[in-house]
Amino acid sequence: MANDSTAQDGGQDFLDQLRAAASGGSHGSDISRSARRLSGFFAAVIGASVALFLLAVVYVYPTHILWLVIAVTVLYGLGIASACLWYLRVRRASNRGWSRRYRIGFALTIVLYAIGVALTVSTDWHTAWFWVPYAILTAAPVTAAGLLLREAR
Amino acid sequence: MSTDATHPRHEIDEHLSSPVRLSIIATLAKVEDAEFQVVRDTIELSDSVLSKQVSLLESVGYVAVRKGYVGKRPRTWLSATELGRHALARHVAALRAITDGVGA
Repeated sequence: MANDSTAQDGGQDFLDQLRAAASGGSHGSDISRSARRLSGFFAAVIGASVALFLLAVVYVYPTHILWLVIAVTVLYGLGIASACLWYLRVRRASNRGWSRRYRIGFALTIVLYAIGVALTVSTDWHTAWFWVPYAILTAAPVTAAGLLLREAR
Repeated sequence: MSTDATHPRHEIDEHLSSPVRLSIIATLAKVEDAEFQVVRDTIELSDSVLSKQVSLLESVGYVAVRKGYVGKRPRTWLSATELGRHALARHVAALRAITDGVGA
């Protein structure tokens, strides 16, 4: 808090401090924008993976071709794991609120995915006009979470 | 002498009165977290200077430091705490109030 010696003869000019704060804020905004591009791409990949897997559950699982079902499931698991590992490796910063937004977006996507699975199990609908838009809707929350940027004060 | 501290200089935060520390906290205030190297390169500091200043900011609760590994590579993540963000806002407001009309 207040420190008279610092305020009066601390050696650093107030204007210099203001310039340092403005410059730091500007650099922080640059880092945040760069982080947003990467997290947006990552979130879109995760959203697309979940959407494609939902379509696989709708169209591939009912065929009961065991090797195909296993191959699709393994491919999905590997895809998600690879995307997460890649993101952890290349991430250098996160924009403000990213973790919370991603958690909420991902949870909503998983809820929509679960509703989709419940629908396909309980009904015999396999019409593309319903499932393709629904898959896109499933991917939307997590993708949106990655693209939103909270502007810091 | 009055005991009421109303002059903006009383809001000056001694921990943020260094332009280097101010740059660090102002940068971190705009992000959720950032890797040590990113902050170092952005503010153009040496490892030792950044480490020393971050330690000071961490000791007063303005910056949080998290260490971890990605694969076998160690990583250090820095983030501004809520206390740090509020301190920055107060400090900058005080600087603006003091320098208002000076040409800042």
